[in-house]
Amino acid sequence: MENSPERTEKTRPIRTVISRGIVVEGDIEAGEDLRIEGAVKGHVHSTGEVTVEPSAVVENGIVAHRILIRGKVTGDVEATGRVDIDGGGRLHGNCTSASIRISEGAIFEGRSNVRKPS
Amino acid sequence: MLGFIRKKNVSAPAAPAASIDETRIGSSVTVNGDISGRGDVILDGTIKGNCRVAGRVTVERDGTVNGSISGKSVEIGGRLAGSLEASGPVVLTGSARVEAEIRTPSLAMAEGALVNGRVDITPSQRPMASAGGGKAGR
Repeated sequence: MENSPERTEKTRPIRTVISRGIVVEGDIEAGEDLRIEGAVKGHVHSTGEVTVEPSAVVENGIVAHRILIRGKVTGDVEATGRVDIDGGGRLHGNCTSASIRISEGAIFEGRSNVRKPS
Repeated sequence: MLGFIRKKNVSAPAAPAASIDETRIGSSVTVNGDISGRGDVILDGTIKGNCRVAGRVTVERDGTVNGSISGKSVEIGGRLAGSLEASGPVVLTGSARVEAEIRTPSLAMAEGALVNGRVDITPSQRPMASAGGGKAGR
């Protein structure tokens, strides 16, 4: 008998968004993608993709599968996949990732360590 | 709005794009710390800390708050252990599990809600004056 996993209401996709007017004083741990538009005075850890929007500030680093930086990140970031720093993005900290893409206009102050995913 | 219709995933329609002032915390997310600021918060995840915002706070069925909640209006369908203060109405749905002191001008509780804590329903915010009188005294 085959049981295909059914989507129940509990597993409906909810995009986690920290909106612009919000400040999180503490750490965020997520098993899903995060979009950050506000401020996080703490560390962000996700198994998914973390997007730091232009209005966002993350103060204590990010660990995730993929990281897209369009705002300001202070602290080290670490990704099992790719890190993108967009034109308006700023990273003040080290970056360890499987790959990195830095767009023109991006600010990156730190060390990049690109290693193959294990 | 964008009119893309994707039929690849026949899942429940994704929640409508959050408005600028809406914060959503998914069920797999835990915030170890406080959330504050303006806008609304919709919580399916866990906050181990306080949630004090200017707008509306909604704790969904899967949501948990271990700390205080403060907002303009609050709806709880999940768990709260701590305290709850609202300048406007509070609604506890049938799945609410609240161990907290509640302060609000208006409270509605659906059948099935579990509440353990002092409830203080005061129509308007005013300093402790002598009881009685419908006038908004100073």
